[in-house]
Amino acid sequence: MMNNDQSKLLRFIYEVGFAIDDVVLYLDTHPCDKQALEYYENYKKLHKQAVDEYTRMYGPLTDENVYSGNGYWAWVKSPWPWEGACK
Amino acid sequence: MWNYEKRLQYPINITKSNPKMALVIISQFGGPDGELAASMRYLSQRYTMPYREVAGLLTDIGTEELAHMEMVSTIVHQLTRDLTPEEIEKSGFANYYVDHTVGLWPQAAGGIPFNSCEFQSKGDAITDLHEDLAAEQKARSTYDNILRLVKDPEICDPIRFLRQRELVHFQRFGEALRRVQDDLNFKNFYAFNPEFDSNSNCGK
Repeated sequence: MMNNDQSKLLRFIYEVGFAIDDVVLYLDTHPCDKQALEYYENYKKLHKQAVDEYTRMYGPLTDENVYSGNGYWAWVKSPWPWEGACK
Repeated sequence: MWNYEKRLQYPINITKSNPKMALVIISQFGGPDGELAASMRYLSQRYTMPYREVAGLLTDIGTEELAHMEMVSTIVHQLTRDLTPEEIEKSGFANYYVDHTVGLWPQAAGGIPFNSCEFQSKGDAITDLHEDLAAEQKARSTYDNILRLVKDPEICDPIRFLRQRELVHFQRFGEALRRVQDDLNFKNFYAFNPEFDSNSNCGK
């Protein structure tokens, strides 16, 4: 079960992640837009910080970000996103 | 959620076009045992798979299959990109060309369009994993058939890589099936369907 801090941080990752998804499409068709490039850089930094923190505290979000120092492959241990809340 | 990486899983550089081979190899894009069906099969099955490790394996292999679909498409593209109308006519590529030019469209070697009847998502862990094991072997046979026809080493090399991955996936699915069966009644694996008859899949 996710605690409050975890779901808040994940919610933040949803937001900055989506900001990147959206500006990427815009930049694909407006590759010289300075303001959009700055927006991208800003959200890229926020996203990286948040993902690093989430990974450290709660586990991996990608299979290239798995902490294996505890001698266990954590990738398949935490819930999958389609599981939703446990009944 | 997915992210795209701007590279192939294994490099492909084909310098000679060969539309005849493209029409054969395209089956591993949109054919009955192709990579598109493979990816959709595993990614569809994972939602009701009650064992997290197995759902993870379905996710990761389903993802790798998308990269294989990209490789097969790249091979077909590089085999057809420099064709002249004369070559198209001579090589038997005209039937494909008239509908798709040299664009990529998922079909079997026999021209049958891709459709989801080519794979199953049965909602039963044992059934689905047997489907997956069979699918990997069928894809391996298809690559073996392709390798009997292909002479160009620039094509053979990535096809051999793809064939090898079918064997690895078969091995991993075998281990996943054992993992599922270990959790069931060994006197009767079919006493109940763990994807439907158990109450909760939380925390397994």
